[in-house]
Parts: sequence; structure tokens; C-alpha cells
Amino acid sequence: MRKEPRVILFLLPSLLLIVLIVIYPFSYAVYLSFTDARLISPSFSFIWFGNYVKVFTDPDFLVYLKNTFVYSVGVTLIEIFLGLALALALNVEEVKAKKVLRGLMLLPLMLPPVVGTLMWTTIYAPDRGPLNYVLSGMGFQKIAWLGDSHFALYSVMLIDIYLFTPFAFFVLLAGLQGLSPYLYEAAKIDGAGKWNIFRYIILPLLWPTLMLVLLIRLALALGSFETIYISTKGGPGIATMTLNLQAYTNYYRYYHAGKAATYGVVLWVIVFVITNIFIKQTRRE
Amino acid sequence: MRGKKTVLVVAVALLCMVGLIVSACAITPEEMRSEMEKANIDWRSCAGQTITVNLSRIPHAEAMVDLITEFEQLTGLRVNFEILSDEEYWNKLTIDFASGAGFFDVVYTGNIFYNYIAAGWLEPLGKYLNDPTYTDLDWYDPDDFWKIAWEVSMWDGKTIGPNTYGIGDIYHIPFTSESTILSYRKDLFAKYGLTVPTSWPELLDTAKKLTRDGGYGFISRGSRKWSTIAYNGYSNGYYAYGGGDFDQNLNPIFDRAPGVEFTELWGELCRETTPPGFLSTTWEDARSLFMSGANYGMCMEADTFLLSWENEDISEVVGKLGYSHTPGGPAGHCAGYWTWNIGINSAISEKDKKASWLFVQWATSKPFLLRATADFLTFPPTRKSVWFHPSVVAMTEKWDNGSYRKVFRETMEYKYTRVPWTISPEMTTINELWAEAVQKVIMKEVTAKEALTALGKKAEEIMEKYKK
Repeated sequence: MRKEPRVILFLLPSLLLIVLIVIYPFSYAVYLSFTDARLISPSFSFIWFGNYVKVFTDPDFLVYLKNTFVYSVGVTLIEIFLGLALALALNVEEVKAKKVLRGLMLLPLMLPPVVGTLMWTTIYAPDRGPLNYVLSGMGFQKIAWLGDSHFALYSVMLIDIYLFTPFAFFVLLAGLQGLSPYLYEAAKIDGAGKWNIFRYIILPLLWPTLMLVLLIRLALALGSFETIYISTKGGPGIATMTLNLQAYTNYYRYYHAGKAATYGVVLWVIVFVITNIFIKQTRRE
Repeated sequence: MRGKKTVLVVAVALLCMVGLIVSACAITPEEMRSEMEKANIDWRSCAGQTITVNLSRIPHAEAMVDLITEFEQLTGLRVNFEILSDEEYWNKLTIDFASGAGFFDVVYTGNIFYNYIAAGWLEPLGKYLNDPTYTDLDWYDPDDFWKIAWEVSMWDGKTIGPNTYGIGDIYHIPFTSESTILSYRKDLFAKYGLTVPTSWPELLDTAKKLTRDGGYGFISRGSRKWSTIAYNGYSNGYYAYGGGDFDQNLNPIFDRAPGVEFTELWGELCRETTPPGFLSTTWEDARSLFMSGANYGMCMEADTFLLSWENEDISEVVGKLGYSHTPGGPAGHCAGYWTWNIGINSAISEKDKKASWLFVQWATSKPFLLRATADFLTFPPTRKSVWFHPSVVAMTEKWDNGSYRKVFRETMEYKYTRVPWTISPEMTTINELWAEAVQKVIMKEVTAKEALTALGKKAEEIMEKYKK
């Protein structure tokens, strides 16, 4: 097959853009991760895997890793579960107010994550927030939702679930509406109940969409920053500190660009491995 | 007789009017302009240039923005401002400094940022101060600044150790300062029959007695940030107990007995007498909570908050507060001292540096700081002439019948106010890690000994490169 040289020319601007905003910054970050670069020092040296040794031998590293996975896997699974449940519920003809309800689902999506998180920090406010007001009215003790290490991570996860469940909902709803209604009718005629229709018709057909949403949400959740940063900054202690937040902290608080880049590269490897496993699994199916 | 009475009434009325004028307007715009023009320099030497000033949203910034037309008319310079919230500000400043972009000509800093000096990000100001073309030293009068405020703003960029500030050049001029003091609710103390604590164990006991009936004995900032350690009751008590960070050879000494003992006490204080969510409480939260009228018995925070707490328009605790030093310990008293400073970006051109110096000089001059303190509540002032000005005296003497002025004077005269840590470019980094360690103690995840020992190991790794 003859290759058209003009094709390369047409692709050149996009390739250039990818090199400038993706490949170059990423390559530089990888390079920095092998140096002792500090923002307050004009020069730096190549230290091979020195940063990686420090990161992996940090006694708190496993806590950062655990927090990262609990947060990302937890919010992803819950968002998909809730999004699917809501999509199934609001895809039924008999639901009269479904247009209004679908519209309401748009509200969290329209909120910038920063604004949504600030709203939730007000809700969570220990002394003056509405959540504790209701709880104390019911006779329960006030809880420091973001200030107690037992609750902080789950409280932050709830913020993410509020903000991003609508994304899963709308994508899965679109997937559901793409399924032919004749399949349901045929199944009903054959005597299939709702559960069997869901299990043997809807789920298999919706599976590629489900995997897509799962992949996108998981990748984004692994790199989640603003929700955690604005609500807890990784505290109390390190109760909500994730790998991404550690990268930020090392750069802006400790001025250690090399170590910050190391955390970034480690996170990238995790995201790369997980997304590749998903893609291969999806192709196989 | 009737005539004499009339004269008396008129005289009293006139005196009242004068008093009102003095207290309401410490220096008029015309007086300020006249004072500025007394400086034996050519304010218009850089006329036609434009400078960009990056500020954090504090009262001094409001003063500069509101009065900027006066500066532009005086100098012929044009000033662009970028004003950001505290968190955003430091991040954006770091990016501008680290990249060498030189987008900002004039910046706010603080005395803890010795790393900015070591990195060469701030322009040394001695050459402008000592150049009669740019500074009339008699008029500007650097000796008018509190000695400690000026000294903590000086460093040679390389001498690491305790008290090694005050040497080398001055890199940023202090325009306002903060000391951590103890503020308490006199009404709650009277209600429960308590006296002002003079030792830390007494303070813990008092805080516990105040934690009842829905109230809390103690509030201050508790979030995971360097300022929670460096400029807070924690460091006041830690150093008063005889705690330290590094010895003369830069070996960590965090886990010595005095520091451990105090950290355990602080952990108990924060655990048992503070409201829920203390560990995410910022200084803004602490300030707001204490003046909300809810029953917070004591607050250990920056004395600059008194302006808010004694403001009838926004505070529910006006007239209810008493002020005292934070308790001393076996090693005496310590009052952590923060100064807000203004400096010049070293990455900009020489032409812009000279123009920027005119701005810095104007924004830290006697007339400007008097106006900023009296009319824009930039407080406490770093200039003695402003602190002792009748309008500032009148304002501050109303606070608990002058007890705050007494505390401030004693803090300055007895030198409680100091920077107790080892001066190095790593101060903010180490204080960040320290804040994390103290939070773990408060949450009882580790003992104070374990936390401070682990901190020492991390700190030693950071300071290794500075050891001789």
C-alpha cells in the first residue's frame, strides 16, 4: 500500500501539540524523578533511583498507596452502582417525572468540583454545619467529618460520589437508551422476569459502556486532587493523603521537585497498568 | 456666670471635636502627601514605568490598593495589582520565583521564608537603602522599626543555626507583625471562678474546666500547615519548656525530654478541650469561632486578630476578652513572631527594581503605615512611631483596659518575641512535617516520643546537606 506523504503533513500539527503538552512534560518529569532537583537550588544532580528508594522506604508510603486505592476504587464502584441504578430507574416509561429527575441529576455536574467541595465542607462543618445539626437534634454526638481520621477519607469520598455519579448516570442512561426495546419485549413474551432481563440482556449489552465508564472514572479518581486538597489537604495527619497529593506537597511545600516528580511517575505507572489491563480485558471480550 | 458656662461648653465641645478628628483620622491624604514630599529623593525618577505587585488579601493590601492613586500621582509610576487568597498566593509566588519568569516585581513574603533568600529569589535591599539617590535615610528612618522586626528580615543566605538572623543584608521590609498571645473570655472565667493560667499544666486544667455546657476550653489553628507549628501556641510552649529542633552540629533534638513532655501536654489539650474538627481548623476558622459568641474559653492566636475581636460590627465578644502572655516554662517565655514583609523579585530588570524600591519605600514609610494602621487596620505595626501615635494608642487602650498594650510592650521589651528555630532554608519544610507529626500525637496514633523521633529522622535527612 502506497503511503501518502501528505498524510504525515496533515498529522504534524496534532503530533506537535501532543509532543509539546504531553510527551515533553512527561519526559521531563521522568528525568526530574532521577535527580535531587529542589526549587530553591539553582543546580541539581543525577541521583539514579535515590528518590524512588526514599519514596518506597518511607514508612508512610503504604498509607498513601492504601488511601489512593481505597479512594479511587471505592468512589468508582459506588458511582457506577448508583449511576446504573438511577439510569435503570429513570429509563422506565412509567416514571412520570423522569425528565425533571434527569434534569436534577445535571446539577452536580454543572458545579465546578472546587465549588461543590467547598459546599460540602460547609455541610460537614462540625459546629455549624447542617449535617451535625440534624444529627445532634436526633440525639447523636457531633462528628468531625473531615477532622477525625476515622471518618475523613469516607467523607471526602462522599463528596466525589456526589459530584461524579451524574457522569456515570448519563453515560449509562445513553447506553440503555441505545438498546432495542424489542429485546425486552421478546424476553417478556418468553416469560423472563426483571432480574433475568437485567442479567442476561441488559448487562451483557451494556457491558462495553460500563467498562468505559469504569475505566474513565477509575483513571480520573486515581489522579483526584481538588476534592481532597480543598477539604482536608491530606489530613488529619495523613488520613487522606494520596500519591497525587504527596506530589503536590513535595513540590509546593517541601520545594522538592525531584521527589514530587517521583510520586507523579509512580502514579502514572499505576494508572498505565490498570488501564492496559482493562483495555486488554475488554478486547478479549 | 452664664457667659463663663457658655465658654466652658464651647471649649469642651471643641476638645471633643479635636479628639474625634485625631482618633478618626490619624493622617489626612494631604498630610500624607506633604510627608512623602519631605523625603529628599526624586520620587519621579522612574516616571512612566509600570510595575506589577502580587499581594495576599490582608488589610495592608487593601490600604495599598485604595491609596495607589496617591502613589501614582507622586511618582508617575503605574501599578498593576494581583491580589489572591492566602493559599493561592504562596503557590503562585513559588511558580513565579522558581521559573524565573519575573512576572511580579513586588511581592509579599514573611520572615520564615529564608529559603527565598537562600535561593536568591529576593533582591537584597541594602544597596537601595544606602543609595541617597533612592532613599533619604533620615526621612525613612529604619531605626523606627522594632529591632526584632528588622532583624528577622535580615540573613546572609548561608549561615545556618539558632539566632543566625540579623546578619547579612535585608531582603524584605516588615510592615506588620504578629505575636501569639493568650486571649480569654473574662465572662466565662468569672462564671466558673477561674483565674488566668500562668503555667501550661494550669492552662490545661483551666481548659478542661471550661469544656462543659456545650462550650470548649481552647481553640487555635490546628490544620496540617507550617504556620500551625511555627506561629502558634505549640511553639510558644515547646520552646518555653526547653524544647529544640537542632543542636549546633545540626543533629535533630526534637525527641529530647522537654519537647516530648510539652508535646504530650499539647496533644491532651487539643484532644480534650477543642471542638470537633480541630485538626482541620485554619487561622481564619479560629478567628471566626472565637468571636462568634459561642463558648470558647481561651484562644491562643495571633494578636492581629484583636482588630476583629474588638470590632463591634462583626464580633460578639467585644468587651468580654482579656489578654495575657502565653504561659512560660522552665526555659522562660517564648512568643512566636511572624512579620509580613514586602520585597522585590530578583528576576526582574534593574530598571524595574529601582521603580519597585520606590513602591516598597512608600508602602513601608511612616506616613503610609500610620494611615494603613489607623484607617485600614494593618495591625500590629512594625514601626514604633505608629505604635505610639495617639490614634493607635487610643484605639488599643480600649482593649481590656490596656492589658493588650501591656502584653505587647512586655513581649517586645522582655524579648519574649523571637524566632526560636534553627534558621535555614528548610524551615517551612520541617515545620510542615512537624505539623503532621503533632497531628498524629493529637489523634493518639503515636506517642509524642515516637512522633518526634520519626520527625527527627526525616529532618536529619533534609538537613544533611547543610552539615559541615
